[in-house]
Amino acid sequence: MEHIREQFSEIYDQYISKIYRFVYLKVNSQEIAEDITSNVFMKGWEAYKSQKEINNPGAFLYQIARNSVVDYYRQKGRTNIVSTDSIPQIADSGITAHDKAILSADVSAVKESIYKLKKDYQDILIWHYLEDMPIADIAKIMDKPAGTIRVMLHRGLKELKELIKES
Amino acid sequence: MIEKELIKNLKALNEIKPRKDWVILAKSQILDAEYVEQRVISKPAQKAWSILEFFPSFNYQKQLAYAFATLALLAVGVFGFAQYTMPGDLLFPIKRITEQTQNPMQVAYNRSEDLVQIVKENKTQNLDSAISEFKASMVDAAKKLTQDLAQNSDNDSIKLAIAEVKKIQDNQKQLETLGINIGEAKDLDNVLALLVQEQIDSLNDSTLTEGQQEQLAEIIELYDEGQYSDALEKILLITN
Repeated sequence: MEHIREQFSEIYDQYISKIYRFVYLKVNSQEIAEDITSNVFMKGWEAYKSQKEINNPGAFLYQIARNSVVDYYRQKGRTNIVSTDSIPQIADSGITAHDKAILSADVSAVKESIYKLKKDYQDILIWHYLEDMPIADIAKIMDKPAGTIRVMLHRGLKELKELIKES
Repeated sequence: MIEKELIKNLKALNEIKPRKDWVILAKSQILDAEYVEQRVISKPAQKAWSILEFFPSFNYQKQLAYAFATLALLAVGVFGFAQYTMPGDLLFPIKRITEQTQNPMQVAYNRSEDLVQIVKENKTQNLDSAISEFKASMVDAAKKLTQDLAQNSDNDSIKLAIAEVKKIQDNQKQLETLGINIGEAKDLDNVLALLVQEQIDSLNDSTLTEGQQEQLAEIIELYDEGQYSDALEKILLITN
């Protein structure tokens, strides 16, 4: 048990920032991101200690995180496709003091626009550009062919560009 | 914003990081809480429960065990309380059951003590039962004494018998002073009379000094007066 705990502790250290960032960009709230991320690792730990076969802890945690975000929006009565009209009322104030301190105006604009993207585009852009995840790995997580992921990546970037223009 | 710049800005979002204090807190909440909980529960206890959980029927047996423990406590309470009862009380039969392992002479003495107590406390409703119980116990005591003396009539056995009889007789005298005469303990007297008679016969056949002959005369006198326990005490003085 102690050995498993140490192993998961290492997984936690390795993925906590990545999962938090992934969730934060999708919910645009520090508080909610912290709650969901805690829940993701709690579920991950429950599964890990029950000796379930987990070959890729990163993919496993991202999968839990995706589902948790979906659950969160479901509970909030929102669809996974976020309407741009409703965002100002639902999200936090947008650019937080923390964001202002660490992110440039352009980067903040990208962050705000990612939040408005379709869920699948969000996931692919974050994984590929922020976390440097190869297309093949993304394809495995999303259970889609690599070619489809490439197309989605292209479309996601295009849509993001348009959203930035609009903002 | 051109695509290259967009990708650069996307990568810059990597600067978003969780609060360090939250990272540590969340980790401890997820991992350490359970770890501490495991440490708090002592390992033998945990092992015992896991064994119990392995056998589902043990849960049912646990209930039975609790029921049994409750009954056992109740029984101990009843038996304990019964020790303070007197003849005529509801729980006295339980006290009598617990006394079955005791020497009948001791039981007879207990009944004589009960009787004295009842008379002193003026518990008239218990008096008839107490007298009956005392008489019954005296019959049992006489039987036991006869058996014991038949098997082993050495001086030590006689001494013990005399001590018990004396204690009972003291209580009888006390009762008489309180105005209760329960009559002579004929069964016990008969046993003692027989014993004194055997001892007198034995002494008559023995060669005695002058002093011992005088003592034997006194013993015969006590025997004739029905003071068998006193006669036996004197017999023991000669034979020792």
